Amino acid sequence: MINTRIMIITAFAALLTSFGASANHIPSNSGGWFGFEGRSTLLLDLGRFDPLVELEGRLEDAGLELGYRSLTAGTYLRLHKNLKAGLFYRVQQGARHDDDWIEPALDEWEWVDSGGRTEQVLILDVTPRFLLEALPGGNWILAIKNRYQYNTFNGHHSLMVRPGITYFLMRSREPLLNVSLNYGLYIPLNFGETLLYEHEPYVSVLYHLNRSVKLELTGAYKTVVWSSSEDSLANGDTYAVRNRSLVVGFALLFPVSF
Amino acid sequence: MKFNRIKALVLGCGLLIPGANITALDGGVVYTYGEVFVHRNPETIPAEIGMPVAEGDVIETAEDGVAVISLVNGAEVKLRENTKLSLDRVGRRVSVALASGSVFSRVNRHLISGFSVKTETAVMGVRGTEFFVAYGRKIDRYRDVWVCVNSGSVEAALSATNETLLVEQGRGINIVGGDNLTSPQRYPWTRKLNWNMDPNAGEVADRTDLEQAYSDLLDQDYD
Repeated sequence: MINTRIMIITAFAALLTSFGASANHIPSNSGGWFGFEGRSTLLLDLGRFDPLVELEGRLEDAGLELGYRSLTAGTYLRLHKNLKAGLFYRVQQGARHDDDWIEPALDEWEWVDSGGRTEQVLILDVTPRFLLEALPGGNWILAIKNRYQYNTFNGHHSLMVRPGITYFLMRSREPLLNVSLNYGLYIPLNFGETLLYEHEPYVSVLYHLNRSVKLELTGAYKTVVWSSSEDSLANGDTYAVRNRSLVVGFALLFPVSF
Repeated sequence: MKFNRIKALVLGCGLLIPGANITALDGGVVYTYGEVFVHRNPETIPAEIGMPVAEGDVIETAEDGVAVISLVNGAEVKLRENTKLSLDRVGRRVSVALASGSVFSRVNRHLISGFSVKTETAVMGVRGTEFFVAYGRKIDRYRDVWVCVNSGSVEAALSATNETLLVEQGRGINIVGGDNLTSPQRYPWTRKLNWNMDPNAGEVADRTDLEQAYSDLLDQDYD
């Protein structure tokens, strides 16, 4: 009887230990449930060409520390009334990838500190847009932002598809406020184990303070899917774990027309 | 220099050619391009360089037309394409009415005591020398009217309410729907306007796309 009890307790303890060890191999909700991002963009209007320079930073993780930051530069080119293309170069630090979930010591798992790691990304943007004049007010734009991204650091190819609809509130024939509802879908082309590695409904409100200054407030409910890292695969573990967070953003935009 | 000779010729022609309803020389056509007509009741006459014009005449340009009209040697107006302008009053005081299209005006205040451009909803009175008036889109009951001042100043007055606004050099306004005067500001699209009225000094036609005056919602990028 006693032996039976000991056996049951031992088996239960072993099971708990096993669960604990297994959980350690799976990435935690590293970004926390809340994040904040800010960006500032200088947008030039040179006719068909619209160059831009953008600085972006995110406060993330449980302590809301500065994690991801980037500098993007490039230009949009209007190919057609309803179609714009863009080519951009981005330098970034603090980006987190699947393989950044590592085991530095036996049964100790953590995210690599990528804050000092510089990565370069090439971006090709193609965005068709349509004016939906039939909708009330007539100032609705349907846009589908498509962005191919190539990260030279890890050779990752990815595609972002973000359909969205924007309503422009006009005053004296000029935009005063616009509200956008978008859904961002991030598709890994040569990495990960899921169709999407990130997706988010995304709402933004942009206030046109004047012709030269615009303020934007955004909110996104982001789902990030972490697929098995190299270290976890070496350990015989595979996973696809979803981390969800609410990300609030603020942007200052400075358009300049020539 | 040639341009001045043309003007002199116009003056001379005006004195020599007696028009049916012209009792004195009021002005003349100094430049045309494309199809330009002068409506003088009951006739419609194709405009030619040197042709005199008078109070009551209506000048009309076709889709490809441009015309420069000299008025009493103290003012000049340049009509863009698809424009209809009537010479309501020509003398020491000049009043023209814009029925459609757009017009550049250059006024010598030393020779003319008053110059105004009327639209269906407002009157632009000149205090300076050079300004542009154009009809825009018809979104509300009345068409928008764009005004841009290149030099001097212009007083815009709403016909319905007599509300007035002074527009200074380098700035423009939109009379939105005929009843709302926007604050004067520097509109980027007005930088490309061609103010030249002298064919000897270069291109006279203004090819500025006035649709640029409106925000292109399909050209808005924020990220």
